[in-house]
Amino acid sequence: MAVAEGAEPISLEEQQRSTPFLDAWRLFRRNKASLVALTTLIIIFFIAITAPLWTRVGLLDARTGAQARHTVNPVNLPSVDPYPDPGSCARDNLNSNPYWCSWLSPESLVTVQNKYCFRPEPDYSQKQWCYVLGGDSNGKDWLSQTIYGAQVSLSVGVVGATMSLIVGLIYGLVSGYYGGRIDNVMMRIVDFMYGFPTLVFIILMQVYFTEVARQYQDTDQQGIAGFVLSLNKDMGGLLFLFIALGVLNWIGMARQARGLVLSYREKEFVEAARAVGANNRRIIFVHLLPNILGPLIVLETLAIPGYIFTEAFLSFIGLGVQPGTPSWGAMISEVRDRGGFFSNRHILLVPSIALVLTTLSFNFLGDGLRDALDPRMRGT
Amino acid sequence: MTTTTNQPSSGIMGTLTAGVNRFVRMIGGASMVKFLIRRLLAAIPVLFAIMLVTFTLSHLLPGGPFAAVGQKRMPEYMVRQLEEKFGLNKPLLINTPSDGYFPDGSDWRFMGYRDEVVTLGGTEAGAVQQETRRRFRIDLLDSQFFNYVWGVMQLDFGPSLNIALRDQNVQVSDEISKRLPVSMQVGVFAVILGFLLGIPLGVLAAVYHNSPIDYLSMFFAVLGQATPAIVLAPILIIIFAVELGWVPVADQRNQWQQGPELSLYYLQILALPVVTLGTGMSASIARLTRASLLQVLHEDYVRTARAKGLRERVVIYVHALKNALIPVATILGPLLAAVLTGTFVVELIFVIPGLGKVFVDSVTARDYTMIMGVSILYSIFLIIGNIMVDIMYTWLDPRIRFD
Repeated sequence: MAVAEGAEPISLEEQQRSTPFLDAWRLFRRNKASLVALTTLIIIFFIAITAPLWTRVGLLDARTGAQARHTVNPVNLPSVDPYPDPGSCARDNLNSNPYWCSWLSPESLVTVQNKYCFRPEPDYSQKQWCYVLGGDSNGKDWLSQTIYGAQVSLSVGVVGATMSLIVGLIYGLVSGYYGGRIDNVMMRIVDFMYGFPTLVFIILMQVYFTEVARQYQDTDQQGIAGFVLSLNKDMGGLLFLFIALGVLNWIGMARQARGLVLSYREKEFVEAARAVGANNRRIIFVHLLPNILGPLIVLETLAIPGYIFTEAFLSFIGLGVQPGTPSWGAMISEVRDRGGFFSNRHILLVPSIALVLTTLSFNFLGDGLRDALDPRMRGT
Repeated sequence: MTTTTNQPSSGIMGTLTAGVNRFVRMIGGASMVKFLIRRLLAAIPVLFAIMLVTFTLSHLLPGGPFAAVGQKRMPEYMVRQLEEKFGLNKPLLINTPSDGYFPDGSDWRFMGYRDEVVTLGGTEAGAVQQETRRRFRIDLLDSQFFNYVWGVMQLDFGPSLNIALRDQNVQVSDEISKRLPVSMQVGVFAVILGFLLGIPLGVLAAVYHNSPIDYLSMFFAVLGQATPAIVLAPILIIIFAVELGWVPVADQRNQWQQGPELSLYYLQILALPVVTLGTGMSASIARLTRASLLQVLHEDYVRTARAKGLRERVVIYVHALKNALIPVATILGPLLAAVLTGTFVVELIFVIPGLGKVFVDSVTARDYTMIMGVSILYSIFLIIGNIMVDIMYTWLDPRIRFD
């Protein structure tokens, strides 16, 4: 094995306390790009997880509901500035008079003051809301939306990858280890499902789920169905999205896991374990699993951007999270729906940069993990 | 003595045998033919399962194709008439006697001959020409699903149920054959761009391994992989269509339907969708090329080639690259399938009247036959793509055999 150029010499102390995890960390540390990616991801995760605290302090908007919309202009009046620019601030209720206020005499301005028009000096006692990254035409704060969107994207990526890893790993382990007829049947099933057009099925399932969720939105269901529906509602439609994403995505992982098990099953150390009388459970969990887990984790990390893309795409066409739940795909779709192509570029750029930054970080993290965990694929 | 066992005899049969022989040899011998036949046969149950799942899923969707006309609800009696016309009043999956639907209005029979009145046509005077035919049918399978499967086996995908199309009696196969070429234009050009951009990039990165060129091209590749079409497409539109004004935002001359032609306008509307799709592809192709070329450059025969004094350029481009491209070529199969599904996004953003748009429209319109038709088409492409990968392996690497 070639040692990478410029590798730091490993100190004696480090050599002594050498565990698989420490070894991996040592290899991972050499890849500077993945270190940066890891740091970025930790920051993004931290911001996404702590978002409720920030909301309580008042730095962010509430996730959904009336508070998420700042009435930049009085309601039911022609809008003055539909897209708050990045960095612009607004009185929480009134920041500027609609154009027709100038037609009124100063006296009537006073009388209607509390309803629609105010005097040139705004009331500074009112709370002020600042759009750090701008906002959309509903007055939604784009920074808050982006951070809540990170919650959605990250949970889709992590949950999708974890589910696919667990199901695929168990399936592949059983199929590869026991072999014979079990393997044959299980792999026929996988081959069978390999021809399924995944995206088409995901779209159909999501249409079904969103329709069901909408139908039972206001009714009070009992039993398991009611529980699932209310849980899905609380999660903003994420539960059904997880199901739709998870149904078919474990297949590739199962194939990979089986291939790895097949290659390790005939290795000498497994034979040795069997010779000293280890049972199946011990061989699988102590000897096979640690060997195949590394490469599979690498594969899943590199697959995470795919899950994030799928969620973004589904939300983009209105089939992802429930309407009103902040999501990067839904934010980008505002561009198409509200003419963002031609003005107010922050509508597009803010969620796009967040999305690309996240997926880029996962890609680099996957590369670093591959260097650390998958010795066969080192340097590719 | 003249034996003609190996010589093809003259005449049409001889040419035919020779042709078949040459074809068999071309695709990789008898074992390959056996392999192909086995794979194609194995695809039949897969297709059946896909049809079953898609059918069930699409009929699970609340509402139906006849539920509404625009904003208004369609009257109940008209819904019933339309359902009868398109056969949607039949049971969904199987027709049991307890369903209350009997094919000829009398009794349910498992199978048997029935008399059917077929309307051949009428005259202006109103006289209707009818004929009674005896037909064999299995009542258990006289359901919507099996009628559809029977139609598909005869390559009849049924009429579209979408309100915009059903009044003109548009067949699903006609609509698909009109829309598929549009998607293909984008897809094929994107694949070409992906290879044209990806392979040189990967080769550069591998040749200048661990140099700034390598890092730069790999950073571009990772960036390309990390940028989804829903991000790249709007950004490209803003830069090239809105700010620079080099290309139109969307096609306004119905050019997509008319097909490829060598005109500036066609290149203009083609540019952004193809670049959007092609960049992502070229990124993965570049990474694959680089990895594979780096591996090959450590092989013994490359060392031999170097040792006998060949120039480095000859070693890389003649000896190494040919073998390094084997894994790269096999990506063509998955790419073919990915292109079709990938065009979903691109078609929606660039308003291209292709298959992706048709599919999304058909789902919202509950156009069952169209949903089925497009899903079947996608699955066929996916299956062919998978088979193509296996064939490519044997073509490119003679050490792999299917015996």
